[in-house]
Amino acid sequence: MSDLRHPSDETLLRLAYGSLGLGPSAVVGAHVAGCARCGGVVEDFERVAGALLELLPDADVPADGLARALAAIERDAPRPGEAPPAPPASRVEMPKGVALPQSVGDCDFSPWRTIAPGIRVSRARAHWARAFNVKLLSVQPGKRLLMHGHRGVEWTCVLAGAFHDGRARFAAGDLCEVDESVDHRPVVEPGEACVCLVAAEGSTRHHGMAGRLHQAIFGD
Amino acid sequence: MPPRQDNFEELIQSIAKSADRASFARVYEFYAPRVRNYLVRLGMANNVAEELAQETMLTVWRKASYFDASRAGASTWILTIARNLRIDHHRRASGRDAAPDDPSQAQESPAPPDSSLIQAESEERVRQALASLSAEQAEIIKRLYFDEKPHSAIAQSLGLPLGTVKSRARLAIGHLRRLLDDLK
Ligand SMILES: [Zn+2]
Repeated sequence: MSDLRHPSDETLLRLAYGSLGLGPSAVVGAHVAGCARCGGVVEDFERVAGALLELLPDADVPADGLARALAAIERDAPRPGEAPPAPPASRVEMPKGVALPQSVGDCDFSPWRTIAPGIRVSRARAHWARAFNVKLLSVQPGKRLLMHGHRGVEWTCVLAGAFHDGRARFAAGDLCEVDESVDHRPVVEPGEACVCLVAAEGSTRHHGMAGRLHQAIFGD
Repeated sequence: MPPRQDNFEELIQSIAKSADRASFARVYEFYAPRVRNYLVRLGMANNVAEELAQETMLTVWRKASYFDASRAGASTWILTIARNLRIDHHRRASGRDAAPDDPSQAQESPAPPDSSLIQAESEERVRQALASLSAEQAEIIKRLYFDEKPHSAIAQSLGLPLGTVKSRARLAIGHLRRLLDDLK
């Protein structure tokens, strides 16, 4: 854990194996798609996962499984190269020049809503994404976010602009992973609005009166 | 755990080349139960896991020509198919969105028929790397992979306080990554 702008190894391991939640997987996946370093780490962890798959005990499967598979093969000739159906496009109006990552490209988002001066949010509507509070955040330049901590882990992939959280600077493509041991207060750099894709395991806790009020009103 | 007997990379290539059902049967017998086990460990109900394991094996048949042994060994390839099908399943099952993205179905071109087995060899070396971890680190790595709540599982199985699990896990992963790097 040296470079804060990438997910932790444990997150990449869980992404490779499939045990990371769907919401965090989509956010971390948006980073990994553009990060050669993390792409290589995920491939390493996939190889370990493959080796571990062989070690899993071969628990009971129905005796007719193979026969059913072979019957399915006879019914349905192999169709190599057949294109999968195109996923439905997401309906969210992205800020100009900012692309929605492919990992949530098929996910429906709510219309943008201003939740505090200079801060707009658009929430993922799919059930799998809501479970992890997946959302897009757009924060005006120079804006300071509330000091907050986390009960679980929170992943933020920067899509445009940049912020600094007192530990490091996060710009487009970077991923900020924080757990309950980190209290941070991100500040958006002047110049350009900062747009992020966020998911969390567990919930966010805010500090102080303003934070608790914010939490009471906005529920996150 | 006995070493695997078959060369599954070759078997998958012969499915691709000649739609060989006997090769498929051997791949199926080894992997279908393990894939089902993998899915159940990730919290899937038995009957759904069974269905998805079946779907995984049918995907192995249909997409055998896309298998590229120079990029991934058989076990790694099959694991990623099962993983992606599970994600698709959950994303679809939850309504509103229909089709998910599936990296295994991305625009890959079919593999050249006689690609070498470099990657399969490196999977063998990954097995060696795992074997050279200490018992405690091997246990931590397995829990991290296999358990839904790995930290509490590690704490329980190794009798460690939850507070120290995170740093032990970080050490174990760091060690594993160094071993993997040494294999390159
Ligand atoms: Zn990275």
